[in-house]
Amino acid sequence: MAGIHLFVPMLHRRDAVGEHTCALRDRLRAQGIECRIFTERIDPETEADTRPYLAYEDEATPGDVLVYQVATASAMADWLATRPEPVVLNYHSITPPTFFAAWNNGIARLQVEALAELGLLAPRAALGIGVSTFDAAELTAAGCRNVRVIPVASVSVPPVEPDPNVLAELDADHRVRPGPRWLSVGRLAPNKGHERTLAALASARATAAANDQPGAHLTIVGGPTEPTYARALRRFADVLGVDDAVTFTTGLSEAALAAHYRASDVLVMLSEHEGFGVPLLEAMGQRLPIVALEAGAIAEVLGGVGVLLTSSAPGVVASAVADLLADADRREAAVVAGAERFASFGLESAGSDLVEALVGVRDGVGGGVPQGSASGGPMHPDPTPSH
Amino acid sequence: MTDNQAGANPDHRVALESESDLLPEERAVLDAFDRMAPQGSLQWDFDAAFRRFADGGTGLPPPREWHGVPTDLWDRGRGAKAGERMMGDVISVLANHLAEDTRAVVADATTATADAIWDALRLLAGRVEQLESQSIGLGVEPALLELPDLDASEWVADIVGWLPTSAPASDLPVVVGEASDSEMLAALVTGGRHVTLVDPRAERIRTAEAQGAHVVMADVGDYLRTLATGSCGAVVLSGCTDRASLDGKAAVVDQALRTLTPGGTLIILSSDPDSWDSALNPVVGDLLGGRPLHPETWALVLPRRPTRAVVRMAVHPATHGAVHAVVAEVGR
Repeated sequence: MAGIHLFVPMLHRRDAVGEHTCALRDRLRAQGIECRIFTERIDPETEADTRPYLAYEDEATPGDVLVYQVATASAMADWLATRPEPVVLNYHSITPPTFFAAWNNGIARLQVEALAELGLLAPRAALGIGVSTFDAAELTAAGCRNVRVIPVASVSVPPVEPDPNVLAELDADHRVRPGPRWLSVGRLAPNKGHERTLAALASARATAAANDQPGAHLTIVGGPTEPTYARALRRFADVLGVDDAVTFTTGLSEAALAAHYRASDVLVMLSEHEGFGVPLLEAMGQRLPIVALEAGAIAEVLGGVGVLLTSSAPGVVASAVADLLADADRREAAVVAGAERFASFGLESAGSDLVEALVGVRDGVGGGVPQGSASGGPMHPDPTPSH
Repeated sequence: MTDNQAGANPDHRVALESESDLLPEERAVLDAFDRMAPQGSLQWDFDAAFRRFADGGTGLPPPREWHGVPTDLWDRGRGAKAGERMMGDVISVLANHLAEDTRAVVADATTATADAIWDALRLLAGRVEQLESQSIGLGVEPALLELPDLDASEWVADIVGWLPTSAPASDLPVVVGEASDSEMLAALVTGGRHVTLVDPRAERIRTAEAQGAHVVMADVGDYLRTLATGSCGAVVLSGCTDRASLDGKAAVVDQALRTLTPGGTLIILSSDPDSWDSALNPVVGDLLGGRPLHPETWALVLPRRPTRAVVRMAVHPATHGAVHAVVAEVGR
C-alpha cells in the first residue's frame, strides 16, 4: 500500500523537529495511512521508531510520498533529490550561518550545507510547507514552486494549566525579590539575542536604582544549544553586574513553563531570526504581554499584538518594557489582544491541515508535479493564517 | 514611544532608534559580549582589525611593533581530519605570541589595542581555517593517509568482561568507535549487547553490518556529540584517538565520558607509540598531528577530565601485541 513516509536526519525526543515528526506520523497512521520514519543517524532512544533511510530503496511502493523535515544538513538530501517519488519539504527554518560563525564554525558550515541542500531539493519538491509566510518565502526563494503555510501543530490548545507548585515557588520568590519579572524563552543559541535582553535588563535596573525602585529580574528558559554562547551569556551577566537578577533554566515540563509565563510580567523576545516563534503564541495563550524585536516571522505571528521594536538597543528595550508595565490599561489591552490573537490562529486544525496537504500530494491534489511560477503557488499572502 | 501600541491595533510598530543610534556606552557593552565569541569568521573585517593594530588609530600611544606570525607556525602538527587539522595548534601558538605582545602593551593601558588583538585572533582563526580547507584540496587527500590497522586481538576475550554488568549501564547501548578488528566486534555482538559501530570507513561499515552490529558511518566525535548525556552503557574507542591531536583526543574522550550513564565504562584501545611510529608510513607520520599516548599518560589524563568523575580505572599494557587497553568506570 502506498504510504506517506517521513525522513529526518536524526530523530530525537524532546526536540521540536523530533516531536513534530512523531506527532505527524501518529496523525497519518490514525487515518489509516502507512507511515514510517527514516533517518540518517540512529538515536538509541528512538531507534525502535526508525529505519535507516537507505532501507527505503527496498521498501518503496508506487504512489509513496516522501516528506523531508528540513532543518539541518544531511546526506539524505542528495539521496532524496534522486528519488522518483514526490518529495514534500516540511521546512523548519534554517538559521543563517552567520549567527554561528563566530561561536562555532563547524555548525556554521553545516548551516551553509543545509542551505545548499535546500536549493537542491526545493525546485524538485512537489510541495513546500512552511510554518509562516516568512519561512514560505525562504522556500520560494530557494526555488520551491508550490508552497503552503501551515502554522506549528505543537502549541497546546487550550493552553496548558500552570503547575501550581512552581507557580507558588515563583510567587514566593517575587515576594522576596520584588520588581518587574521579565521572561525570555528560547534556546541559548546566537540568533536568539539573549545578550541583548541581558543588556536591556542591566539598563532597566540602572534606571530603577536611580529612581529608588526595585530592579527587574529576568528568567531565561532554554537549553544550551551552543554551549560556548551559553557560557558567554553567564559571564556577560556577571560583567553587567546582573548575575543575581538572572535565572537560567531549562528542561521544564509544559506545566512548569506555563507557570513561568503566568508568574511573569512581560515576555521579552529579541531574537534576530525566527521562523515562527512558538513562545510568542504561548505567551499570548497564558495572557502575558510581549515586547519583541521585529525579525523573521515575529511581526507576522504577533499580528498587531504587543510592542514590536525595530531596535534592540538596551535603553530602547528597557524603556519600552517600563512604559508598558507602568500603564495598567495598555498592559491589559495587550493581554486581551493577545488572547484573541491566540484564539484566532486556528492551532487546533494545524495538524489536520498538514495531513490534508500531504494526502493531497499523494492523491495528486494540490501537489504532484510542481506547476506555475514561484509566485503562483498557494502560498498564503496574508500574514494571518486562515483555516 | 507613541500610541497605545501594546493592544491590537493596525500600527503597533514602534518607531524607535535604529541600530546605528546605539549609545556609545551601549555599543561598548555589546562589543564586550562579542569579544567572548571564541572563533573568528569571515564576517569580521580582517584588514580593518590589523589597521587598528598597526596605527593605533585612537590617539593613544602606538602599540609595540607587530613582528608577524612565528616563522615555524606552519610546521606545527597536522591531523587527518578537518576538525583536527592544525588550527588548534596554529591558534594556540598565535595566542601565546600575541599574548606576549599584549602584556607589553598593556603597560601603556591601551584598551583599544587589546580589543584589536582579540579581533585579530578571531579573524586569524577564520582565515587559518579557510586556508586549511583549501590545503586539503591542494595537497594530500585524506584517503591517502592510510593508517596501520589496530590489532586488538589480545583483548578480544577480555573486552566483554570489562563491560558493565549492572543496570542501568548494562541495559544501554555500547558505542564502538571504529573497529579494525572484526573479531572484537563479533565478540561484543554475540555477547548480547546492543552495539553501534561508528566508523568513517565504508568497508568497515559493510563488514560490521554483516556481523549484525548497528552501524553509523561517521566520525566518532561527531557522532558522540549527537547522543544524549548519559545515554550509553559503554564506549569503546578502538584506536580512533591514536591519530588525533591532543585537543582532538581530549574532545573525543570528553564526549565519550559525557554520554556514559553512571556506572558506565569507557574502554580505550590505544596503539603502542613506538610500534605505531615504526609501522607508520613516514609521509603519513609527517602529516598527522597526533600519535598514540602511552597507557601511563591515559592513566594520568583520564581522572583529570572535567567532564565526569572516573571512579575506577585499570591500565592493561600490551603483553604480546602492540595495543594497550585502558578501562575507566564513571561515577554513579
